[in-house]
Amino acid sequence: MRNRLRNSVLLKPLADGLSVVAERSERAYGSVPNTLRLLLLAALLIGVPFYEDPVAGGVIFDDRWLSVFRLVGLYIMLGIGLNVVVGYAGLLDLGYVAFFASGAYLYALLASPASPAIDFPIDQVPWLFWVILPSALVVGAGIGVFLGIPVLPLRGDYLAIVTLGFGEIIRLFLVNKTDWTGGSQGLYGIKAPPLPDLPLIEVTELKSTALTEWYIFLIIGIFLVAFCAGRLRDSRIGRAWEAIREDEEVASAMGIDTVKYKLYAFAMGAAFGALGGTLFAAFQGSAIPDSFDLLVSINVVAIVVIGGMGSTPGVVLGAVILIGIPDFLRFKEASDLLGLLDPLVPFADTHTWAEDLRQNRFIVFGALLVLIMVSRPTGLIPSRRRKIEFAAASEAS
Amino acid sequence: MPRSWKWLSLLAIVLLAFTAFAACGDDDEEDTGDGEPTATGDGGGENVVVVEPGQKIQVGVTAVLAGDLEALGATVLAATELAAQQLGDIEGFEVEIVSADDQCDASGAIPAAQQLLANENLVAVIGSICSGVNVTVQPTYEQAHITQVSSGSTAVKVTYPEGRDPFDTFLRTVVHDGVQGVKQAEFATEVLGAKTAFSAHDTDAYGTGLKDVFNANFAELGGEIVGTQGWEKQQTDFAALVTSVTTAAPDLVYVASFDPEAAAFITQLRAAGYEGDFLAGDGVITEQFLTLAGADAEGAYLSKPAPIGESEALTKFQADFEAYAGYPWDDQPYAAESYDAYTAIFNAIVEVAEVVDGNLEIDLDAMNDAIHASDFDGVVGHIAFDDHGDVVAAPGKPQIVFFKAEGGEYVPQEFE
Amino acid sequence: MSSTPAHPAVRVPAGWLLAGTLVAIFVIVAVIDDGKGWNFWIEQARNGLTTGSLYALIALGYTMVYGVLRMINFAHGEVFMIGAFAGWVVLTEVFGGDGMSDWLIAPAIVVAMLAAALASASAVVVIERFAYRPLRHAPRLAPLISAIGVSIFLSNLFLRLTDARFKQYPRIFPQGPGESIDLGFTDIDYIQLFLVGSSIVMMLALFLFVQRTRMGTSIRAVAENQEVSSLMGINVNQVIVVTFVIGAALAGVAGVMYGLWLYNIKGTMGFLPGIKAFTAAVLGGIGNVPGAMAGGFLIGLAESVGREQLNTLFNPTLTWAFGWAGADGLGLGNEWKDVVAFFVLILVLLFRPTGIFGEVVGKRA
Repeated sequence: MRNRLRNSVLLKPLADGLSVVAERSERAYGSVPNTLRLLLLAALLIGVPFYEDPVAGGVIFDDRWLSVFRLVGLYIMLGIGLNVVVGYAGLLDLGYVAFFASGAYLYALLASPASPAIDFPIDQVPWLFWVILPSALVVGAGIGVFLGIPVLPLRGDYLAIVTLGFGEIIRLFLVNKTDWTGGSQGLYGIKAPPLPDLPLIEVTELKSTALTEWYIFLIIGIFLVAFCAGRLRDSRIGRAWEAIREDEEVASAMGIDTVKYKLYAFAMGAAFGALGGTLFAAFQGSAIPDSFDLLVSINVVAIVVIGGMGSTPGVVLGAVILIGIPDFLRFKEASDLLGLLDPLVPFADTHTWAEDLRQNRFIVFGALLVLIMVSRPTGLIPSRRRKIEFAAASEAS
Repeated sequence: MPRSWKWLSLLAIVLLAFTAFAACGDDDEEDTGDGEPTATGDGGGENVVVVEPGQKIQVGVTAVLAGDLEALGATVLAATELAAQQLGDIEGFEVEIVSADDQCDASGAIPAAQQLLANENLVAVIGSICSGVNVTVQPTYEQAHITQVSSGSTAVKVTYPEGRDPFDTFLRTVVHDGVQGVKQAEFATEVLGAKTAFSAHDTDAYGTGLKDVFNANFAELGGEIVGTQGWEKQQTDFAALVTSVTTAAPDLVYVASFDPEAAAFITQLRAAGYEGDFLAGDGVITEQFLTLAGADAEGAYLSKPAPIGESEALTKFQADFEAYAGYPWDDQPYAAESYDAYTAIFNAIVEVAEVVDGNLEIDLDAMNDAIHASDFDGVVGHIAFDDHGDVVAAPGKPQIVFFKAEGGEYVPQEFE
Repeated sequence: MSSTPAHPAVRVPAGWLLAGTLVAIFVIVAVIDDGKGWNFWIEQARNGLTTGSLYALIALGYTMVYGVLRMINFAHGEVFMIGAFAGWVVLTEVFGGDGMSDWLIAPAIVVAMLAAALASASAVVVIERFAYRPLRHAPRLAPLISAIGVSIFLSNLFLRLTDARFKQYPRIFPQGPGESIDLGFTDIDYIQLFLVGSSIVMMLALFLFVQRTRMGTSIRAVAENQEVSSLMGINVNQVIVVTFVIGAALAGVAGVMYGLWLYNIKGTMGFLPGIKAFTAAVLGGIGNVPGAMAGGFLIGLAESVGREQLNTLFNPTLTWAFGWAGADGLGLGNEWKDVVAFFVLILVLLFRPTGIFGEVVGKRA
């Protein structure tokens, strides 16, 4: 039944097509060493703001693209962090936004003129950001441990609801404890720290250097985080996580200190989340409690699951689809493209696909989540291990 | 190191796809040459938008356009579109309203702004009605020299930012909480004679800000705040809060929030037998409040910025808006303020626009000055701005007006 | 540190003990009081029970589905919303809304509830078939995300259908000052009686159904062990659908009750009650039917009474310990109610990781 459904859904041909392309490219690039591949990819991505349109002149990806990419990049970072908790260690965390918020408020409380915490003109200290950034990792890890301890004995769905509760508690705290956090008005006016000027920027005439710098900074950050996560996974710690994920009791019986490793997972995930948060507050310029609601946690979980749990490329794809596409659909180009479909629509004179889509994009989003899950239950790019597991399980059933 | 290399190809495909879309779509946009709104001096002249023949002048609207709060954004957009329709062309150039959805959330703020700024003929932006969006996005518009005229953001901090001067590029046609809260406190003590008040507010920036002003002023005028409690937006069951209120038995219940929660609250308050006075502000005084609260709205006092009722312009607007949008102008707040915001922008464009070689040139900075110098009678009332960008009272006229809900209508009350 | 399920013979008493402790705390704190008056506490308790009854009804759906499928049905809140809208349509279109004659009110409400149950049940049958069934053997999180997708889809669909506006229930149920039964020490509003009463009746019916009927036994069997049940001849798919339908019907009726009580409904109304109800189900021990009922009432009470009690309790404690004397104790106003609800949950789970009454012990298929 499920196979029939999978085969009949539109995504199957698309998924197949992607697999074919992937395999061929894999073979083609098979000879190039790993590091070089990564560097190539990095260069490709970093160059994005500079690509010029040969036909019309000027850059292809202007500010609005970059601001969307920046948001997608942020979610990729968050996704990689959550991947550690959910994908590697198997701990269902529905309150990831708590860590994200901690990092953001850490920076905002120290850098916003509206902050109740500081009294001196913060712009006099431009290197503050560089000090806070690594501290965010430490603070995040600390909070991860702090929130992880009470939930250690909980499994599965209990863990889910409690972490959800934590996320909400943190948000409500941010909103209501005005004298500590600035309340629902939020903290604003955070000046972006001067990022190191990259020489390339002078070469081309860019409209907004800040966005470009942030974008590049994020790309570098993502690579670093992905690198760390990957190393963790392939290490002893990662193997312990895998054991815990598969069967906690057996792992414990085999001598793995589940407490230590679970806390470690929370700490790492939280550290990455807080890092993302600090970056967010810095490039956004504001930290407002509304931005840290349950929906963020849900989005991150969705990215990880849809992308493929335990798989970094999956997270990237998940973020691009779930965050990038809805934003992209607001663009003029999307409206133009969809406008091509107008003649097919009976109400073409009063409706336009684009307008309708923009208004209904959440309906489409929900349906998309369902469709993707139903046709690809292990995610779009599952880690190889999961695919094997799933195949075995479905054969057995 | 990642094991699967499908991602490389997938990412490459995705990038290529984006590139293809972008390259295809860019054709008409690059031809204008001079007018680059995102530039700080790029292209021709200092921040001048050049509209070529056949192109349109663009005014942006940033608001919530999808999701739970959609009705608010839709109202702002409808009012703006109506205004554009009614005020017409400038020197033969049409005005186009372009919109972007900021989701009333700081994260959506900058992408929405960037989207609007990508329109090469953008001269001004109306919005956002959400203060959180505004504080995030003010620097972006300032950098682009694009003026924002907000029709609904009332947090004081938006025009009184900490640590810096107010943004020249930001103005609002709606009175901020600092004014309303003060007047409400005065009304409560002088007209309603309340000695004790219970403050209920929503935990958003709007509710908390307004409540703070009211509480401070009420206390200063000798009143006593017997309780202050908040509610999360979307809350519908106020039983616990109502019990707290009835136990405290205040003379007045003050509410700083929007109409849905206020309506539910007043219904349950009255059902519990509370008979004291009820006072709320501009977020509540809508048609929807009367509908949602029904008979329980009877006797409630509400305040609103600007005098209305006698103005011909308003009556005409009411009829026109309902004809255009399909629902009453005050079903949701800020329709009238949006109309006036557009009018201010329109007047400014007319004033500074010059036709040069068949193109319409609009100097953004001159436009900003012109908007600051606005002085006209709009739908909402008299529109003139102070140096913070806030709308000032017309000489001799009150800035906040009070109403009592009677017989399903809002009846103006005398109060200076 | 993984917990082992309690021995069945000890499980129920422990749960009741915990529940009893909470009630005792309530009484003690009410006695300590703080100048708020006995009436205040009774009233808050009534409020808590009323809200709690709705949470309980919705929680049942979560818990039953979890019991048979080990799946969190995130879209359950939307099922509640659909029921509310169905009831609204019936009351306004079929019966004429506010203008209906007095004698019609009672039958109208009954019809509305039936319609809501039907609508919610139909919705959930479709949802189960297309969004959940294909994922029955998928990794744990897949149905969760699918459910989230359904939830987003449905709430936004209804927002679209109503232009993101509120719709009002006709005010036909007697509510207001004086519409209550005077018990001497307190009044019970008719609406509160109706809500709590109907909920209890429905829950009893459900309990009997699960314990005494054949289908009920099948449900318990499937919850216990899917594979063996199917080997015993039980049509597992059918049982699962029936489970979903029952849970949905209850939630749908809860939607109508909500509408009659609070009047204003909107496409996004299911989100918050959904989360609360889910919390309640977990609190009571997920998969445990009486647990969900108790959990619902407890969460309702925690939000109202519990919060006020924290205020009261901490004031004398803080004063005694640190010499502070705040007017409102912890100052936990209404805006903290969700925090308190989650706090109660976390506290309970700290001491009993499987919920108050413990979860239904069952093995995965």
